[in-house]
Amino acid sequence: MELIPSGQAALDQLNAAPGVVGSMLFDREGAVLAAAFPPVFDASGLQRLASQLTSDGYFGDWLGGEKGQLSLDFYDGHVVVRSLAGSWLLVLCTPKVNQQLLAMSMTQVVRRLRFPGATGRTGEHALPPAETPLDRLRKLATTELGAHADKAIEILAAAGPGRAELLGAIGEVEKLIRLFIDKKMAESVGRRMRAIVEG
Amino acid sequence: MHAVSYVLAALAIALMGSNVVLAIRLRRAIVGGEVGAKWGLMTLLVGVFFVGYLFSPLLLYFALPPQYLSAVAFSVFLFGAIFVWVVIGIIRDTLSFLKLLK
Repeated sequence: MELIPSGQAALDQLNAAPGVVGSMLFDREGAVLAAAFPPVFDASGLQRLASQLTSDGYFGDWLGGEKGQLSLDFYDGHVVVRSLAGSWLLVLCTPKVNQQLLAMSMTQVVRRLRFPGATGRTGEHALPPAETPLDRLRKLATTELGAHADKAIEILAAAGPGRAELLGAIGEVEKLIRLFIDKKMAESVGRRMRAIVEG
Repeated sequence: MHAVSYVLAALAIALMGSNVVLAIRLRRAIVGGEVGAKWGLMTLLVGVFFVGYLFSPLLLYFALPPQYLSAVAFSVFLFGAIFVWVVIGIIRDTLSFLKLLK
């Protein structure tokens, strides 16, 4: 099994989310590119699962493209499979996992995996090199909030690329700053972030 | 009977003393914002309670008349109610931010 280091790091990050048991990344040939599961899950079993899923015609049809997601609830677990244009991210969680936190963590990891080389592939996974509004928002959050920027960046990363979604995320970041950091700074950062999205 | 009261007062003072330390430590760790301001108020109330607790054995020792004792008891109720109100505010702010409210 050839593991991709940056993909592995992204999965380790995802596994740190509460309620996540393990995760793996596999390609359309059924090869496991990266996996982060407790030792009780043996590598051959994960490989077999990836092969079985990718050999299923319906799986490829339902979860093709970039934004396909399959969510399966079991009595003793919750499984989410997310497509990544040519590869898939599978996450196994406990039944009591916080769905919102999971969605946020997955979005963040998916973004990370889409960088060139993260999944061992190039081209279709690569983000455009031009700086997006989201990149600028991230920079602003890092500059203004310094050591406290992580949560704000997480909120921004969880938002979709659309204008309305970004504005919603900015509202959340503003609320975060108002509640936990500083009211005046919240107004200032919120105003500047909106200017980035609207300008 | 007074011995039991003194022991209870000593336990309450010890516990509230540790609460004061915890509240101050957390106050220093909180960056600020609305939650920080509310936590500051809560820390102040914890301090007020602690001072009250420190003096509570004296109420027994000097056998405070019942009319004064009632005033003390209702003051504790009032500060207790304010304390709970502040705590509810902090929890509500935090839960609403985390979107964990129905």
